[in-house]
Amino acid sequence: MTTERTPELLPGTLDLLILKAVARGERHGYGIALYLKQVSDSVLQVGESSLYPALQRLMLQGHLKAAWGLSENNRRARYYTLTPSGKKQLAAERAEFDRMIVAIHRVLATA
Amino acid sequence: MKLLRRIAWWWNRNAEARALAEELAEHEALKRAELVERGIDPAVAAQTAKRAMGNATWMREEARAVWIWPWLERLGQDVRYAIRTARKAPTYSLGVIAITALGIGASATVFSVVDGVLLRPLPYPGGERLVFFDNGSHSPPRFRDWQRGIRSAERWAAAWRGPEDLVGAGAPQRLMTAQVSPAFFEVFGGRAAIGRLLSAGDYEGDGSEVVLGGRFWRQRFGADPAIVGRRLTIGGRGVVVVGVLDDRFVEPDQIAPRPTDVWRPLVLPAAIATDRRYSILDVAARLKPGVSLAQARAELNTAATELFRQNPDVHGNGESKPNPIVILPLKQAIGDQMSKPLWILLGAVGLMLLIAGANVVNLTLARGADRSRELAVRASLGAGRSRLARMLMTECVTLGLVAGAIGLGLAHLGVKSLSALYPGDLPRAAEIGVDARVAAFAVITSILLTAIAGMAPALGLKSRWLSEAVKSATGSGTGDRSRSALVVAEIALALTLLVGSALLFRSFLAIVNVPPGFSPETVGVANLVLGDRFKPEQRLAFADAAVRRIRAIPGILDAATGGVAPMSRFGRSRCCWAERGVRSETGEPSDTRVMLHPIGARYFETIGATVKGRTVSDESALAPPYPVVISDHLATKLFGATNPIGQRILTGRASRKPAESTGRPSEGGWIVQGVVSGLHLFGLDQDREDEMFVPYRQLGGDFDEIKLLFRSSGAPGAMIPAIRAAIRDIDPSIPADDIVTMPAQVARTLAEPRFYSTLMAAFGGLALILAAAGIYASMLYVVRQRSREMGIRLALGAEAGDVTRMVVGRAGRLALAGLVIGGAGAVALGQLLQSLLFGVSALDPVAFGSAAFLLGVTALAAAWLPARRAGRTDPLTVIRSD
Repeated sequence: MTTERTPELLPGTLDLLILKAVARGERHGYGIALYLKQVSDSVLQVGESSLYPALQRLMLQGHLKAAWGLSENNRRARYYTLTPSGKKQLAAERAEFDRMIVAIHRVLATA
Repeated sequence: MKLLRRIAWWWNRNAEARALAEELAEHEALKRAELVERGIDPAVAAQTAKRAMGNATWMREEARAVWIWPWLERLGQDVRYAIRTARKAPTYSLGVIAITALGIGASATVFSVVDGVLLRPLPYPGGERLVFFDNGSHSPPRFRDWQRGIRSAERWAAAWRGPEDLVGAGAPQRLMTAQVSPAFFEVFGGRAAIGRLLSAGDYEGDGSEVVLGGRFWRQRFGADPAIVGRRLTIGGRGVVVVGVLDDRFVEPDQIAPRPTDVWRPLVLPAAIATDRRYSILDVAARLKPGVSLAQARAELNTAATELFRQNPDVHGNGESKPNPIVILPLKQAIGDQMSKPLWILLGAVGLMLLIAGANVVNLTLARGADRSRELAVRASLGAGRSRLARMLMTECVTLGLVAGAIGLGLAHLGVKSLSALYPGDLPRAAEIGVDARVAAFAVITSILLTAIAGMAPALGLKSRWLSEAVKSATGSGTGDRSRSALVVAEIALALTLLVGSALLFRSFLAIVNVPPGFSPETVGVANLVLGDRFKPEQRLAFADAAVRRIRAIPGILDAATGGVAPMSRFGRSRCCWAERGVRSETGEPSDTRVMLHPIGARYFETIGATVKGRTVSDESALAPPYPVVISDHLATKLFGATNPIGQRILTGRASRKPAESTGRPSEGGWIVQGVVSGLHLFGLDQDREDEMFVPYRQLGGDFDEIKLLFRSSGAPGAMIPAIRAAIRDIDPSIPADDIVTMPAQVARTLAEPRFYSTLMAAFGGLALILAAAGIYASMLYVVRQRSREMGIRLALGAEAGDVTRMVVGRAGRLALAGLVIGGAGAVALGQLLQSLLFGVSALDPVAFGSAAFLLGVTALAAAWLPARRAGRTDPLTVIRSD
């Protein structure tokens, strides 16, 4: 059995991660969660209860759009793709995140 | 964008919910498949996957909360609930809505007029610093000296207004023109739509450059942009159009006619420019920034004395004293005439609003019992006070919004009919309307009214909610006293309004019944303007020709010319030549202004006035002493009881210069040949004045307005086409559009009192209906509440009549109390109305008596319906029902 850990994401990073997950191509909700888990070596685990509201929010903001497609099970699944505004948002959030990480590192590096 | 997506989501909310559910199901399926693939027992996998997905409803709500603001959703719930509640008690809801909407409609109507006419800032730059120079119009020399000698003002504007004819380029047309001083458009912020406005250069020539008013340009020239540079003939002179004034410009009432068709530079012939007797300019100025009205007035006092010292002729008041210079804020001057009646109307409508409010409270109290049970049940089921308060509030506000919206619609209609009803043009008419300010006023008042009325009973009930939860609503008189107080208040307020409207109505009747001193029924008048293009002899010749021609028309009994027609001027626009300080040979100079009216032969015969002695005619002597007909008013003033006929009248002041320009006798005076009695020349409600009628030729044709009066055998209106044709025949270049019948003219002078009395009657009527509804509802409630008592009384042997009498008697006592209190209110209102009343005392017993009687009878009738029902109570039904 897998050990279920509550994901301790930095606040505000969930949107960034979702945007990144669909940056290279469309994914459905499960695919996004799976992708984040695999790429991060199971460090980042996004709970469904936060994933779906986040997806709705990103759609409301116009960063994502959804379309129906066929899942691996050959059933209907909702696939998310970035909109042009989503691309911009990803770049912006990414830059902001990098700046933040550098800053945190600097603080930690001081004696 | 985001809002659009929210709306789109809301539109598809069911599909969206299904999509999410399907998406989540697929997620779960994929997760299960993955777990199974990793070798986990399918049953366990299914359970794990399901657990991971969590609560589906919660997810759906979370998604929904992303798209729809939660507060909006809760509000929606409350509103839906409020509407459901309202529909469960339709009589109550409709009653509240109808009463509130009526009250709001009436008050928003009056408020929008008050706002437009009196409150809103003037649409001119630095409008609050604009002042109007009161005390009539002013002479050019006086205006010139003021500009030189008064330091408080930074910019001056003056205008000489008057009608002139446009000839050529289509049918001749009467225009309203204003000759304006150089800074006029700067002071009032005018802009050119095309071309340019008047410039300094235009004042150096003969003033032949003109600017057209926007409306005139559209109506006459179809907004032709090629108008600039075009030559026109206006008032007999060639002028050239240099521009068109922007359509949005609002002419300042008091200074320029509204609408003004043509604007000309104020360039006066030397004779007029230096003549102190031509009081032709209406003057306004903008005070320097920082100069208060009080400071300006103080300066004007000094300036008046100083200017008088320098030039006593121009700045004196005719009695060797400086003529005071009186200023008013322009805004006040514009609204001045209407300000008092409007505030009174607003007050009246406020009283009506109070009655409406009392009615709503009354209705809500009557409903209180049912409601208190419901609220108590809700409270005992755990609803918090604030939640209940919010629920009640939403109900009130919902009703208030609906009522406010309907009220606004009513106000829209009301403003329209009010403007239509108003005689002439309301000042600042373009600014009157139901706009955002009025809408805010209406909606806020409406919500306040319903909220206060709706919450008041609920607050009172609060403490008793739980204790009364299970009790039935047969409780005795709690709330009785407040209900009685409300009924008394309603009757008192209604009586105040009714007495007010009765006073105004009686005053209106008194005016209508004033004998006019002539017989207007079959008289008509053509108002003509013979401008500068006519020489004085030509004017006289035209007048002679026109009268001969009109007398020859079949159906015409008589015709005459005159400088003034009865009832044709009223309000501020007085006319005519005037002479100050006339006296009898032996007497002191009279201090009032005496007006000189030129008339032709058979003037008094045509209008049907009674002249003692002889009238004047064209054959009258053309050398002093000139023969003259005077009004009985002047006769009494000058000669007292002695027979005035044959007496001489002299001008008071020594003549300073020959008066060729006007031809008025300055020496030698007049000799009284006849006295016209009881003639109301300016309006039935106006005092009769000091008047002298002189033959036309005596004034040498120095007049440009001429009235052609005629008396017909039948209705004068039927003669108008023939009269018009006759005038066209003599000179097709004279516009003959303005021909009116005397009855219509008399009606116009009555329009203002009719306007106020109609409006007050409408408010009084509404108040009566509202009060009757209030009494009816209140008595009905009492009867219903006490049905058990009535039943028992009847069972114990009371007659049906006794019970009915008991209820009616109770209503009668309340009505009596209301009438007494209302009587006091009416006395106060009467004092306010005093200045609007004509021939009626503010304490007129007929007005008080009839209003009280009407209201009393209405109250008893409204109480009798429920009372009769009480008398018919079936004792058995009532007693069994418990």
